[in-house]
Formats: sequence, structure tokens, C-alpha cells
Amino acid sequence: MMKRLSIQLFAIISGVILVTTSAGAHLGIIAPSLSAVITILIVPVLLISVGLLFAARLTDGDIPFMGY
Amino acid sequence: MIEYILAAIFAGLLLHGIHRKVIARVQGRPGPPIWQEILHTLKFLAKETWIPKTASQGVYVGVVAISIGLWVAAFALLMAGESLLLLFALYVLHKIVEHGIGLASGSPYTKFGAIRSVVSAASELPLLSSVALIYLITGSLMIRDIEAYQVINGPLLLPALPAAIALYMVILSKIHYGPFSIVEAKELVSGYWTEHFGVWRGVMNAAFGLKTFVLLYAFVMIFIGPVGVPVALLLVLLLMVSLSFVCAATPMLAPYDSVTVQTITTAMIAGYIIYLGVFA
Repeated sequence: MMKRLSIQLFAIISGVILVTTSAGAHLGIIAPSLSAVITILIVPVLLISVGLLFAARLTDGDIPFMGY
Repeated sequence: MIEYILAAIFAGLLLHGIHRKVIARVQGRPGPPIWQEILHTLKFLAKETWIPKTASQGVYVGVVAISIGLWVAAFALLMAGESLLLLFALYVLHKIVEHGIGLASGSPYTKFGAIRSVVSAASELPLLSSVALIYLITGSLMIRDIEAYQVINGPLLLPALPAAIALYMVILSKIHYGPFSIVEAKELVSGYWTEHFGVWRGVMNAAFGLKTFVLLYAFVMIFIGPVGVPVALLLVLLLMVSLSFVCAATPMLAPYDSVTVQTITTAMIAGYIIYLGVFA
């Protein structure tokens, strides 16, 4: 089960990677194609972890399984 | 690039809100505020999130990540002016995501939504005729080449009007509350995505907002040409409002009727393409 701390870690790392690659592409340090590939792979991680972080106060970051 | 993606998601969700508002006004209802879909997405992100016991865990979570990744990739292709074929390949992959979302949870409601999605796969047919006609006229499927063609020869909208109609139908088939949106019909709660809620629904809302923005912006780039961002955004808005009018005034078609309408449209455009390619 993912706990709040690991979710925070995922959110921060993915956010930093996205901002860095974006800035790198603007400054010409990273090729735009490489920046695009990294963005495509990392955006889902960022959005899901930020979302789980928003909801973490309810379950302390756990994703429980529930039946019907 | 992340700043453009977040702006596009915001714009897409705002367009969804405007869509709901226009439909409501046409039908004589006050409707929700236009920022309702943005609030909806934020609300879902803060809701309790769980995975149904009957779900296939990997697919259930994976399709959510794929759906957002898919449209981020499509957005990147659009911004780079890359191949239209790649853009539409990603569009077709979205259909597989729909199936995955519906089949992953194990719920009969979502399974039925996914089956409807499989049955209405003909919604991709007009795409084929649209791409073929654009290629026939411009000689290229690179978006930057198509834009360059339009700088010299004027907008493609009139010479490729059947292709524009086909793409318009394709976009209509992916818009909420549209005549071809039986996969989200309310008698199945929310169709194929009924069992995805909390964070999963929030991220999917963001992905679908991005999808709407990408498809509408692609339409403007392909058929109007390079007009600058402010004018392009205005045209995207007008396009969205026109789609909302169509959605407000038409009933939701059964899968069989959807397939019939889309197949007939494709056949008519195919006839026009054959005429252009062979006789003109």
C-alpha cells in the first residue's frame, strides 16, 4: 500500500523532473523530442500522485479495496 | 512543455463547461456555471479513492495513466507540427482505452459501456476518409506542411469541405452528450467510466479535457491554417459552441444507428475522393 510519504515523494520528484525538462528544452539544453517523451511518461505520475495527495487526509494515502 | 499541457487541460475543461452551459441554454435550462468541469475535476481529486475488489488492478489504474499519457503525446505532436497520421493513431488508441476502462472494473454497467464502445468502433471510419482527402489535396500528412500549404493556397476548409465534415463528425462522436455518445448513456449510470472515481476520475476528466482541446485545435490547424494563438482559440470556442448546438438538438443514437450514419458519411466522402483522384 502506498503511504502518504511515498506519494509525496512521487509528486515532488515527478514535478521537479517536469519543470527541469521543460526549462531545459526552452534553454536548448535538452532536445525538444527528449523533453516531450519525458513529459509524456511523467505527467500521469504527477497527476495521479498529486490527486492521491489531495485525498490522503482521508485514508492516510492508502488505496483500499472494497467490494460492492 | 508542462505549462502548455496544464493550460490546455484548463482550456479543455473550460470548453466542457461551456459545452454544458450552451446545451442547457438551448434546452431552456439555466445550466451549471462554465467552470463547473474544472471544479468537478478538483473535487474528484480530493475524494476518497479506492479500487473495486472485482477489478483487474493493473488495467484499472493503467488505463487512467495511459489515457492522460496518450493525449499529452497527441498534444506534443500537434505542437511540433508532426504527422497527422500519428495524431490519429493516438486517437484510435483512445478507443482501446475506453474498452480497458469499461472492462477493468468487473462491473456489469461499465462492461456494457465498453461493449457499446466496441460496437460503435465505426466512429473511426470518417477519420480514414478525412485523412485520405487531406493527403490528396495537400500531398502531405505532416501538420506543418499542411499549414504551409494553407499559407500559399488559403484555408483547406472549402476545398476539403467533405474532410472537414468528416473530422467534425469524428469530434462529435467523442464529445459528451452527443448523438454518438451512447457509450456514456445515463441508463448505465455513467457508461464505461462509472466505476472510476476519486483520483482516477479526476485524472480522466483532465485527460478528456485535453482530448477535446487537442481535437478542436487540430481541426483549426488543419482546415483554417496558421492564424495565431488568439484567433485559433476563438475559432476553437466557436467550434465547441457549434458542437454544443448539435448535441442539444439531436437525440442520442443507438449503436446501430451511429454506425449507419458514420458508414454512410464515409461512403459519400470516399465517393468524392474517388471522383477527385480519378476524374478531376
